[in-house]
Amino acid sequence: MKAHVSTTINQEPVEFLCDPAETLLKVLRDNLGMTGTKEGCGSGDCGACSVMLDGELVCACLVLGVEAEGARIETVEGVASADHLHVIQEKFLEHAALQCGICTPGLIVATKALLAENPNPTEADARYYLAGNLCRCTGYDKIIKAVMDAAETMRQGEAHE
Amino acid sequence: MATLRLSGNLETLAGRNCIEVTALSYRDLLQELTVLLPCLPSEALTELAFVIDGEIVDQPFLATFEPHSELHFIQKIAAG
Amino acid sequence: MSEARAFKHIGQRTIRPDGFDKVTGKANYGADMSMPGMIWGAILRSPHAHANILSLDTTRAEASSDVLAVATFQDFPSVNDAAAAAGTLKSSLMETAENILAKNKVLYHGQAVAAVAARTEAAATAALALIDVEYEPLTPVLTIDAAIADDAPLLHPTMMTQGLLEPATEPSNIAARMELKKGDIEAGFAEAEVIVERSYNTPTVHQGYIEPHATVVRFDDNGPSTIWCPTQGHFDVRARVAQLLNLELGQLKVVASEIGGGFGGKTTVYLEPVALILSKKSGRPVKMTMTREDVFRASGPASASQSTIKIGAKMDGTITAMQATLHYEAGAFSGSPMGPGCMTVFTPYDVENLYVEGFDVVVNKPKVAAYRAPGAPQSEFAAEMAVNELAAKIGMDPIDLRLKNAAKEGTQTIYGPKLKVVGLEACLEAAKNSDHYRSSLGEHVGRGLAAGFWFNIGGQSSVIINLNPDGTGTILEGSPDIGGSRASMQMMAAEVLGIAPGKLNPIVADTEHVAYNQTTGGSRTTFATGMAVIEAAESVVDQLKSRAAAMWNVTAEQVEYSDGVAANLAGEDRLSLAEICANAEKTGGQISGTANINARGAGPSFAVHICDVKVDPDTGKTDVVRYTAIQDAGKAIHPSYVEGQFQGGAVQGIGWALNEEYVYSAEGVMENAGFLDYRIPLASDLPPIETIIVEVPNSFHPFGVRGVGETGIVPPLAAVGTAVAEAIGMPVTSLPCSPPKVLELLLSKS
Repeated sequence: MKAHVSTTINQEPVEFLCDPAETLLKVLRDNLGMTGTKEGCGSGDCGACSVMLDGELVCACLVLGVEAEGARIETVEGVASADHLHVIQEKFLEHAALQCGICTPGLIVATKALLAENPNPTEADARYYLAGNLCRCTGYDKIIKAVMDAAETMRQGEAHE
Repeated sequence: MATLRLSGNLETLAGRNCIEVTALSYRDLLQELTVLLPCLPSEALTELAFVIDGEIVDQPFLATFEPHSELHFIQKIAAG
Repeated sequence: MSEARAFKHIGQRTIRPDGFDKVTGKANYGADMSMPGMIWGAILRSPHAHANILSLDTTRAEASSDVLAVATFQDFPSVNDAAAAAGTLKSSLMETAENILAKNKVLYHGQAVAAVAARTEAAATAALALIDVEYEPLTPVLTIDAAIADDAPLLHPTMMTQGLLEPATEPSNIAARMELKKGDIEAGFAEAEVIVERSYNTPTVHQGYIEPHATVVRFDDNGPSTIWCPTQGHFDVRARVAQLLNLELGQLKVVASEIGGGFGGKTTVYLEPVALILSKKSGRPVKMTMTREDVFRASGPASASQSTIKIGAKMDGTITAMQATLHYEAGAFSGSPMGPGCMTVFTPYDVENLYVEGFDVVVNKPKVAAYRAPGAPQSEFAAEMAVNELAAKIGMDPIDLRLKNAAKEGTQTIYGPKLKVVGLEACLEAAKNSDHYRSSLGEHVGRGLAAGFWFNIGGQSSVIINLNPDGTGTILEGSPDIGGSRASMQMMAAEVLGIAPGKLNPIVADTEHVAYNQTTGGSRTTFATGMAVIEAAESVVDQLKSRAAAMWNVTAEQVEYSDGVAANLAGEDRLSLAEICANAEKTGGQISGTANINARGAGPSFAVHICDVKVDPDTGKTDVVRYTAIQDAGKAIHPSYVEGQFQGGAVQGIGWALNEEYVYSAEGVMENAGFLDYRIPLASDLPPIETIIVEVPNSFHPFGVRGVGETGIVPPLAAVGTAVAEAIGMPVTSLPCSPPKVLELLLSKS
């Protein structure tokens, strides 16, 4: 028996059918074709599938598809607007904060969550907040620089508004 | 005459660590070695990379060298 | 390259061309592909580390309405035909086949035994229970000591050691022996005034790429079958699958997806041949993915090692002799990187008398695969630890000791050739002058320094550059991009053509749309494929000149081309690249440059790393508090991605040194097959990784490039190990320096 789920993904209403045992990650990727959210472990250890569920940063592999019922989901596909990248995305590119790029969608979503909670993080704050997002290529140095730069740019942007 | 330096297991097989050769190409060298050092099987040598004056040549089939060149056979290097 | 050359684009920090797709989630990796009508494959894996397969019965699975296809070893036509029966088949192909689907024996826990395909992933996984296998468990062999013991159970009952002085008469678990020597080792030790001798070991570790192996394939009878997969070498995937399944190369098209990390681990095949068998049998496209647990248990990790190092020196620091005995675990089938391990172990040193003996040992663990500078981190860890011990023993600064004995141009290596111009001394000087090395240390903090060497390779690359009528263009290359190499290809072409890098779109083409390219590995891509890009771009420049000449009705010799503009030397005429392209139709058609090369002259890259660690005396937990990676890049095309290679290599090495290891039960089952328990470094574990790019140009590359990808993982093991040893005042001989092991050392001291 498949479950019928009505939810909101990146501010758009979405309906899908899923097996009650299927994870939100599987639903996003295989049922909805939203493959921007990546699978690295399936056990909540790597953060490649980081998404926002009702404003909370979660691993989509640890959430069931049926838990999306009535919820508000944000994925990496919703971070940029139609005509420009989000500051965080721009800073990741400027600082060469990705090599293979498989962890990048999760890190972008997690960084956005960090900066929403704490617009002025210390470098240690950033390192601990992002400790759930594994990157094997970069050694994190350029990621942290990108995050700190994005935070500063966003603070300046707010100050100007 | 070019100098072929032998090391490791090749040195052990050949019983010497260097030999002068008249060949000036990889193909001629293999031919010459079947006479000079029949203990070194050509099939084994062609599994190895070839080194001309310190420069590793992975596919040496057409490689040529100079009369003063120094030559080596070395293990092919795995790539990560 | 005699003089420094002024570059316009090379050395800039441009935005990578594939970056937009990667930060927005649009980039397609292995598991992101779907095909119409696609079904799912799943693999049944061995529950034993060592067992005979008494029977394998797929009848129940085949009878199930859920199951659309079943595959076993018997489905490899090429290894089951007459050639195999006659024993003339290359053993490596047979072993590749057995590693993908076991034949009559399983040699590690998790080895693939059979596969099924069904309409959904869940149905495929459930159907595995319908395959009946009867095993006869055997004693697992899990360590080098156990494998080389006289009465050790044999993994391969007919395997004879290769490379012995006298041919082996008895089978053993030692697949091969290798010996390298230079000078007179006995005389060298006789000359010595001080001797250091110690044994070291390193654990099995995994490359830890975040993207698990995945593939989507479609078998086609009437045209090439398609394989989509994340791989470092799609031409190699094509060759191996064709061999295993008796196909012509023209019957296969391999598309390299975006690749989520490889580090050497994605240079072979696991799922692809199985998926193609399932697709052929079912008539449907088939998708297969590994779980993270599968990746740990059944892809190729890096060898565990045991090394004994002996160094003789004079009190003034002159090293007179260096000797090594190196054992590498190959996993279930022969073929550890013991050879390169032997070749690299002492290469940072210019020493008269050297002797190295290496052994390739099979054990009941997954068959190892390449991992960043394969073989070098293990052996150079041992050598560098011993060199640091020597420095302490004679009271000499470890940099000064290395400078006194440093390999340089003309140094005779133990594996044969003499080194060309190399940058080790420049790296050591840069380390000595670094802010980090001059800084003082706090309490419970230790500092370690180590050097590292890796050869780098060249080889075959093919590139096509096509220009469009508006002066934009594409670069078709065949080197899967694992770390941003498309950016450097774009920059090198732009430099030659004198246009903005963004005008050119670099594309990693599939096996049908570009000619053969060797695998992305051996730190070859920016060097060799870069060389092909430059050659193809130079061919384009020649064409631009002759097209401009045709428009001006002069000869090509009368045209000069620079900075994207052709100039008529006989007059004032000027034409930009875009203007020449706009007129290409009239002057001869498409402007397109190709290069098919076998690049020679890859320059080795040396590195020196400095590491400070702080050890908690109560728990043994070790934190890296400062780290600097210094490495010779020859010429950094895109400095950010060069630094990224240094940093990434350093942090993988830090993980290897501090936490990472395969933990096995007595039954040979890996007990930490997940990222929670196999702990790779996290952002919160690390300080900033400082970098210093040294540039000693490689004269064989037009811009001076040396590969930089691999060397960076070599020094960290000993840099960290030495720092820990200094912090706790005890010798460190075994990695990882995980809290329980360091605590044990601390307790044994008091």
